Amino acid sequence: MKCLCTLVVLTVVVSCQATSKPRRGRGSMWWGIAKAGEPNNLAPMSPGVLYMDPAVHATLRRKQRRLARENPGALAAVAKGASMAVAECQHQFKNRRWNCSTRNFLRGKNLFGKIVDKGCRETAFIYAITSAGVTHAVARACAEGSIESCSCDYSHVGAAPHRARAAAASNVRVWKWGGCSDNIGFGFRFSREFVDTGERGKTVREKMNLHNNEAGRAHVQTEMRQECKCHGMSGSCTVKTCWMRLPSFRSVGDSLKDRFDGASRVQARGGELEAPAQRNDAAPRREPRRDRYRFQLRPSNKEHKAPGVKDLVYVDPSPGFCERNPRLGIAGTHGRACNDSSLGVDGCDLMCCGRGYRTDTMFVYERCNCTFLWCCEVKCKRCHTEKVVHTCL
Amino acid sequence: MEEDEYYTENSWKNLSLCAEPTLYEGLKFARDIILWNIILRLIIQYINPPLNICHSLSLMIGILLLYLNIGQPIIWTLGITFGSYIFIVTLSLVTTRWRGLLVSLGMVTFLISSEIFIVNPKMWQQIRGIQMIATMKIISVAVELDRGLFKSMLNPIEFAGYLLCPANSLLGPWISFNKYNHYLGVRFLSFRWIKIISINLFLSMLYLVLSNCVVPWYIDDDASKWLLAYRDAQAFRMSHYFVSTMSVVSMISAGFGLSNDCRSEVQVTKPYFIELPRSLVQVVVYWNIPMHKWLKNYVFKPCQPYGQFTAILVTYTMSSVLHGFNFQLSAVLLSIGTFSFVEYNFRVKVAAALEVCCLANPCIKQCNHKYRKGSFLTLFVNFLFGLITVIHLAYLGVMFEASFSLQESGYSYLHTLSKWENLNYFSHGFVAFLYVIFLAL
Repeated sequence: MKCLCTLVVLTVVVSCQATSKPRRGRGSMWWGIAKAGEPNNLAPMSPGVLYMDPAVHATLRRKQRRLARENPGALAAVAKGASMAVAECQHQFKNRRWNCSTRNFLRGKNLFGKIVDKGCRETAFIYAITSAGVTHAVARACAEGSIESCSCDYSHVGAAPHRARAAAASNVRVWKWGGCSDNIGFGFRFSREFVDTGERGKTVREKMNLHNNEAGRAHVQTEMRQECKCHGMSGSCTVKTCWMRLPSFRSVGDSLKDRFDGASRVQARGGELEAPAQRNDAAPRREPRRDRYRFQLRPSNKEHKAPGVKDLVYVDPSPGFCERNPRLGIAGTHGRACNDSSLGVDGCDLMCCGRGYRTDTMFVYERCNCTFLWCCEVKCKRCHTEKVVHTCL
Repeated sequence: MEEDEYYTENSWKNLSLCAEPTLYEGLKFARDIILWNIILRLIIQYINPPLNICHSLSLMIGILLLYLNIGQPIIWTLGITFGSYIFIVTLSLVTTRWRGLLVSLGMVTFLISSEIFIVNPKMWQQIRGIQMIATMKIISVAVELDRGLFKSMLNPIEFAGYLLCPANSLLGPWISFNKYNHYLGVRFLSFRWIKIISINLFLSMLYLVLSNCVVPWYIDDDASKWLLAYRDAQAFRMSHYFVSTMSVVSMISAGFGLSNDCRSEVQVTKPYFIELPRSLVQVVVYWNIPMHKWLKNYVFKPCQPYGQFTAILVTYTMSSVLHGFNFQLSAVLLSIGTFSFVEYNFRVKVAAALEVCCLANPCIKQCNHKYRKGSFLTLFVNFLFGLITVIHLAYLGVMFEASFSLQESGYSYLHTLSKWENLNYFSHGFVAFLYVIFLAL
């Protein structure tokens, strides 16, 4: 019975994708897992095995399910990464007209709504942040030992880290590190396999998705720090000990937001430069599947330079987010809170798109005068304060 | 609000993320040291070859271990070994009284010039400790030759075996040639041996993890600057305990520093007396006990005829020169020198004035003070002095906290001064103040 259900849902999902959404890349349904990652949905008795709503499981593609099966524990990390990405996206965009709101994903719909059907900046950010979330969470889980198929691979210790860092700066894809760092390598590879499924890189939209996914991963990777310390007689450096530190996901979100603000628009049709490696016909192609990452998008303004590995790219201009638009799944800014003293996007003028706003005075109880008690408690008082709230009409 | 809680990370998880690779590298470092030293000991004890073969074994395994750890720069250590031997032999033809002094001058000149003109800073930071140990050994041999402690001139194999001995060429501690010779002849091998190695290895790894992963995080970054200074200095001290305990591990695994009934005689540092100090004088002694003995024996004593103050000055200068010609270390060492000098004399006066047992070193037997060890006033005064020492230690140790590139290539004087400026030159001011009171008392 359950099987049948799954099958039905699966067919619905597949037919949905096949018929109504030709432009969107096909690899974005897994985002729904973000809502399945809440702890009560995980069975704590059997670590590594993720009990999940069959409907959520059904949103995964066959390859993604295989990956989850082959790497026990990885799916929980993916779920954590996805919800981390959603939270981060909502944090970064909380003061903007588009606030990264999510929908109920279970009815064959996309988690972020129909906005992802359009290849705009916001979509670019969604793809990058989710891909970064998976890379980060999987690398983290790997270091913590909660993914069985991955462990600290110490065989590369001794490879000159400085050279690797220089290489990382110039081209993230040749990046390699010794020590327990292979966690990030695993996170990177897993994210490529899992997140990029279904993006064949044939159409411009698929290329855009691939590029942004890669950008998300690159941000996690280059912000990873190696920390070292010298030991020896009186501060000399006879022994060095090093360890890796993943960036906090907040800093990844911050730098991706910077790239969002400076995202480059690329040509929508047939506009791509062939990568030099592909142009060389004499060289036999060893690994045709890797080739989907070998493309260079061309900026729509010819005077701009081509987007780099860490840049976000988009194809379509963003729609206005002021008014409700069911066709694009935009909720509009009606009822959003705004800040009347700000001149930025969170200011009431811009946020409410000139429609005006309502000002209410509310009395709220909140925690105040909190003091930190060593260790580790926080004691607060309850204060009754008056708060002025502005809401867009 | 909820969102932000999402990012508070579990500190235990953070600890394990740091501790695992740290322990891995620490144990890898220890593995080579222990392995080769145990091989040396087993050969010496089971095959029992003639003494010269023992020396050459020590020489060969020493070279191997050094090469495994520092690679190419080993030529500097080899160079200093053979160069100094030729130097000592040549000098012996001319004089039998001034070899100690001349070799010391020659070695110091060599150390300074190689640091300033020849070796690149990064490599120098790497081999500095090793060169320092070798220099101490060379000078001790030269001085003991003058004192007539050897029957004849050492042969080259003995000399090189002593200098490059795997047990202490890498991290120290310094031992005299006679001790080295003695330990080659010690026979013990028992289960206790393994036990002592394991305990010290465990301790050293504990200090390593404390230094890398625990101490730098247990006080938050936005605490007051004195707490931060205390934290950073403590991380450096932990690193020192790691190196010292590791050097004990290497000595013990080669069977050095063990008596015939397998008791450990070697002690490098006493963390307890440094973390909870009685006085700066004690910290100086217990920081590196063999080094302290060396300085006392080969620098302070020969200089004593020229006056107490000169002797102290020469000792601290020698100590800072041995550490490399480096503003930071010289500043720290000379500061310690003056601080402890003032402290010592100040406490003598206070002890006399209040009739309290509060000298820099505890009264061992005879103590004419009215207030003895257990009395409240004694405890209180000593606690105050201990607190001042803790502050001095934080003030002096804080400069060793630096970005890794700085640790790797050496500290500039700007770095040192900026760290002290941040603490308003408190300790220097305070000691000057104490000195004024001392003069007034």
